[in-house]
Amino acid sequence: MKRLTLFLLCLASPAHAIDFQFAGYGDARLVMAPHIDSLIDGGLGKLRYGEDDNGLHIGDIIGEGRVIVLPELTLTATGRINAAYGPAIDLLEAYIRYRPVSTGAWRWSVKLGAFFPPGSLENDQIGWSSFWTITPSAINSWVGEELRAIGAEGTAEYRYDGGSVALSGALFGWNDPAGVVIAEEGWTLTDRPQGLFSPTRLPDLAGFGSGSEVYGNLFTEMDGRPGWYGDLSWQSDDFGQANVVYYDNEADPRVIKDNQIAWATRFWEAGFEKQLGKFTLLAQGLSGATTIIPSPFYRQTTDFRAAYALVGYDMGPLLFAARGDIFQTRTRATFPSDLNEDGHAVTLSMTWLPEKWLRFTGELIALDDRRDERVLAGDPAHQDETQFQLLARVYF
Amino acid sequence: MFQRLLCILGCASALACTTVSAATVHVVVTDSAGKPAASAVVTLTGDAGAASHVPLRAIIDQRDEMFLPLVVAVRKGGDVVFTNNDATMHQVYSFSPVKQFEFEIDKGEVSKPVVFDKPGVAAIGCNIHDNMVAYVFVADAPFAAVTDDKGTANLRDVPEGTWRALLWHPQARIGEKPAVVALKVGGDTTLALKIALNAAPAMRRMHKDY
Repeated sequence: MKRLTLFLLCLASPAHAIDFQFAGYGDARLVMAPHIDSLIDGGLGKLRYGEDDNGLHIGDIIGEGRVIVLPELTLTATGRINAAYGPAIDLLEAYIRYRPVSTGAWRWSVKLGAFFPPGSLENDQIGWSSFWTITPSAINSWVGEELRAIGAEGTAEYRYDGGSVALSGALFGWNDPAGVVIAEEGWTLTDRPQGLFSPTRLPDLAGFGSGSEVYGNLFTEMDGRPGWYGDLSWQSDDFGQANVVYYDNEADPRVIKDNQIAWATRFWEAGFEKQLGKFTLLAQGLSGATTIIPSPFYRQTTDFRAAYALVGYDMGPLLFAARGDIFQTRTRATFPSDLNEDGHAVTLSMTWLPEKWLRFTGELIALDDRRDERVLAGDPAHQDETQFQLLARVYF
Repeated sequence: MFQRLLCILGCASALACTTVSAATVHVVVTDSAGKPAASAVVTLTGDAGAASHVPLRAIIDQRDEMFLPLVVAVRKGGDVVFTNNDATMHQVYSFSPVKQFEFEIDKGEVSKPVVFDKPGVAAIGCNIHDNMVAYVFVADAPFAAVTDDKGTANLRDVPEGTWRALLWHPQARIGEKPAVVALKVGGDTTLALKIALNAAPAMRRMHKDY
């Protein structure tokens, strides 16, 4: 508290130095896309690019700014510029972190604002981007697409000789529709996380044949009940790192507001990372369910589960990665449902970092998926999708 | 968290060449794969009473959100000065039992000397930038040196006699039994040491400036 008081005093003093840091990137990609409407175009494709997307694309421009008000108090905001979809400028995260320096084994911190929930072992770069691949796994694509904690998170960390254990907990709101994407669209592989102020396009089929585009607003509070998550993570110099997350948005599945239904979504996630020389192994699994009860006569629960394993090989300016994903959804409803899905994907990626500010990545995704809902659109339930991207990314 | 004061090693060989009263011990440290092990600290301990040849002061710089070098060695009672040649401020701290301290250091500033009066290893971090880490090895032994990128270090002016060589490295595996190598110094000597290491923590920052 002394520091906070000092901070307030410092704000009044023109002599106090406040640091500002900024980093970001922009990219362009040559894309070979599958012949199925992508998720962004309201289709049931599983990848970022789809029908008519072959060719050159400008990706996203991501910028992340940090204001160091005090060494213990930082303000971070991550924004995205992309005129191709939704608002040209949007925010991905914005939060304040207060972490007093500790000279003992224990350290604590609090975070306040809008931020991604914990768990991902892939998305440790700016703007939910990944070190090893362009496109994150199905698990982390979904977290980026549908989840954001808008609230407060507290962390207590115990540090010991050769490792640390951290326990985080958060209370959040404004994410009650989370669950609609995994139920209506299923699992996807995309490197485009949802912006805080952008509407989310759902599959056109979610409009029940209306023929119009269907959008949802994921970041809204509908029932006045906060959601929560807990995250236990362990890092050891010898054994690697592991984490377990439990998430529950505590949405009331009976609430309907502004033509949206609240989806009660909860899941367990576990992850493990180990570095062996130049090799790195990442693995995560996630299992959960989302429920709606829009009327006394209808109840629907979609169980979803997915897992992946990634092996990375770091040769300095060259990085190689191979990842296997498996995913599934099962829907139990008052009436028979066609929202079931079974799929798997293999991702191969090679990255060259010739300069500190330049990245080239070639990435191939081969995905095999069966989703019964496609039959309603006149397509076969089973689809093979292959997407290749050759990306040039400039960091600034 | 990094109080891993292990003295670990596998094999050692000493090759006596000439007979002089004080000699240089040339140390070559490799990992299990035979590759040079940089940032290892080798110490020589002998009979009590030998004067310390370990530096009284070391400097740790901060550039590109890294502490440079990763490891420094100072004698017990010696100190470390931190310089900040980075584009941003840092909050340097240590929670190691060897020395607990914290201070802010702005761009272009030089810290007051931080005195280390207990032997052991202090892990140094930055409260703003979690990737930053450095180690201060505080030596009670009369001789200590840090290996360079080639895995080599020279311990100079070592008196003739029998010494015990000990090795420490920040990535040494926990659980390895401390081993001590007896070393007979009768002239300039080469000491080859092996150590089993964990993989160095990867710096996974793609031009992220913080």
